[in-house]
Amino acid sequence: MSAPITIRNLHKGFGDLKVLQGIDLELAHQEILYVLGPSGTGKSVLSQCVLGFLAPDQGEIFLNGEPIPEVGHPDWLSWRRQTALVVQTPALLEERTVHENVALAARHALGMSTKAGDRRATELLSALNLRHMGKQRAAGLGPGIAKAVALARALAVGATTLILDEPTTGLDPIQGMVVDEAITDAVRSEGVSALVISHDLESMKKVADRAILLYAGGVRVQGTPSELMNYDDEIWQQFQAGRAEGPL
Amino acid sequence: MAAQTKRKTGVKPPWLVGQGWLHLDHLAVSSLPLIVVTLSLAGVAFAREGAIQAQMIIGTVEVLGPEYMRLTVTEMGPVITALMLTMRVGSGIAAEIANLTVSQATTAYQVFGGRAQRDLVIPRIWAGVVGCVLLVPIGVASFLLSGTLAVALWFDVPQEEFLFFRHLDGLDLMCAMVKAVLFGAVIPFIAARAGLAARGGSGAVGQASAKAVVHGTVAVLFIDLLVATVVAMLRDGRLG
Amino acid sequence: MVNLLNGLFIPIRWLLPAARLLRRLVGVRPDFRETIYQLEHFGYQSILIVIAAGCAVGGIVAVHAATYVANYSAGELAGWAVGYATLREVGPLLTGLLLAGRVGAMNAAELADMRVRDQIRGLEALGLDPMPIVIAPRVYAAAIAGVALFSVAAIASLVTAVLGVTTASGLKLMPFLYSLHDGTSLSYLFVGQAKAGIFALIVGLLSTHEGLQASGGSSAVGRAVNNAAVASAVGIVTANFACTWVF
Repeated sequence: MSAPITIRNLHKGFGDLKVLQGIDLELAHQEILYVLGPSGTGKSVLSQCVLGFLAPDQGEIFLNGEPIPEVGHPDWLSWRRQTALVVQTPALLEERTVHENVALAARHALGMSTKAGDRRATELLSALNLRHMGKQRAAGLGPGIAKAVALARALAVGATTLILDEPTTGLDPIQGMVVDEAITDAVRSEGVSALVISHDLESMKKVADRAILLYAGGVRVQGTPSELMNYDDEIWQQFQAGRAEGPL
Repeated sequence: MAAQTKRKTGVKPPWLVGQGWLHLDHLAVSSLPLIVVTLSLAGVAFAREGAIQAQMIIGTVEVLGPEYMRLTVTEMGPVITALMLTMRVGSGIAAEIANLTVSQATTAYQVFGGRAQRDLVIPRIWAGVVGCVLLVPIGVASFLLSGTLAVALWFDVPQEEFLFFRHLDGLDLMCAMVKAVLFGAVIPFIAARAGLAARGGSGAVGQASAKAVVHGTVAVLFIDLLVATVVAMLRDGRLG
Repeated sequence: MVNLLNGLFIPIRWLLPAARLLRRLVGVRPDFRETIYQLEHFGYQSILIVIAAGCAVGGIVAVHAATYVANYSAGELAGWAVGYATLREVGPLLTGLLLAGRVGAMNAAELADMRVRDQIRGLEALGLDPMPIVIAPRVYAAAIAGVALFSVAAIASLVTAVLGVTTASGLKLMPFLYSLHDGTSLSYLFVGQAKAGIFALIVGLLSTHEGLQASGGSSAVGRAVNNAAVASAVGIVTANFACTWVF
């Protein structure tokens, strides 16, 4: 079984600015991989390349062993659903209920009947501990819950790989915890893999199976959270401590 | 009080009409092509349909002229002009003011001593009244001329037999002008109030615009009914 | 003068996007639940205001019909005048313009808000096509609601007009109803309904198009509503003009 995401020797630049210089990365099945780094180190560029929105200058990206199709390719839409992007703003249909947001996605992505879509929505919301929110309108949700619902919606379209862009940024600790739990529940119950772009160390410690730190266009450190805690690297120590003085 | 307001805010009180002239350009001048085109199309449709029905029911089209003229001047011209202005100007005013409200610009204005409710609403009402009084005759003329042309082209009725100006009396013209004044006042008033009541974000701006159009449309229809009833009673001698 | 010349192209400028959107909708199966929701939103929630407007239109027709009865002793024509005006000519046009505001402006406001807050992009990012989920249900619901609401408006107008004419002109109710029945052909109702359906479809298409064009912040939403209201009104008047040759 091919890895959900395989990146080999990825290079991407904009004019004279070299953002990514030789990234090698693999996201394993049912793994939660955190991509950490300060602002401007290329985390978002990496996710845009993986999603096919930016073409690499050099290198290869494979999703489930297959190269990324181009926009306009006949398989683009079904591929798009397999690798779902959950953005900072949840962008739910605010006039619909939580349940309907998820059921609608299941109906249209997977061609389910109304009843089957409802069942799938109930299943997913239960898996992410959101079933009690089902009848609430999406407009009134707290930001953390809204992101968790967005996650459920992404799962409803049949995503096998989730790419989450700064999911806990701007959230208070409680809302952040809701999102962390949703990510963990999604991976454990639905068997998906998750690539999380973030600079939230606390979230990484709670949720990640593995994390990497991007710096100067490459992967500076990588390992499990416990391995990284004691990692002796100047850049990593500065990032971890949140110090202004130093090479970062 | 006017001098006091000007000293505090640097803004002249709006009842001096100065600001109203700024809004008049947007309300009247920019709406002119829309009014001429839509009233012309409506005039052709109304005249043609009326002529067909007149031929069927009465056997002749010539009798249509006086009533077509009266209905145009007292009813169709003012009402359709007002409805077009509600769509174009009403929603625009509501959106503009709603934007100021949701971005709290009106709150800031009030903190500095201005009165948003008065200063935003009154100049627009002035402009609405003047604009409508100017546009209604143009709308009426477009409706009449296009209808006359249609009937002349398709039913061979010469224009002098169709345009019976002598069948119009002072009451008809008064009816048209009273409607123009009332429509011109109520459309911006309703729109401005809808804008000032907006609460929230971008959704509230949209809701305010939509509300302005709906309420403005219903208000135009009810004012039309009221004025038409009063004029009919005056004509009957039941009033005055 | 240039503005006036540009104004001549107003109907074309607004109706071409409607035609393009209609072509895109061919073959798209709208989400059933969404369509029902929009029908309730556009149709059921508009009933009261349509009844009010219908009564106003009926009252206006009654005032003028009563004037004809008085001026020309044309009691036998009053029924025809009421039926013709409320069902075939003035009624559909004024109801259509009301719907341009109630349905068109509201639809554009909601879609523009969804657009500027990336709700539609959120669907696209998941590989979901907004056409059957968001767009098609609104257009179909607007068209169906328009036809249904015209019936409501027509009944309200007729009842008000009948009561108004008989009260104002002294005509007895039953003879007036007979004259209404004799003078009004069933074709008036069909033509009125057909016009209402066409107007409602135009409102649905144009308001949807304008709502989806919004980009920016809250000012873009206001602009979208403004454009939708004007476009819908122009579309209705133009369609009314075209209908005189068809019906």
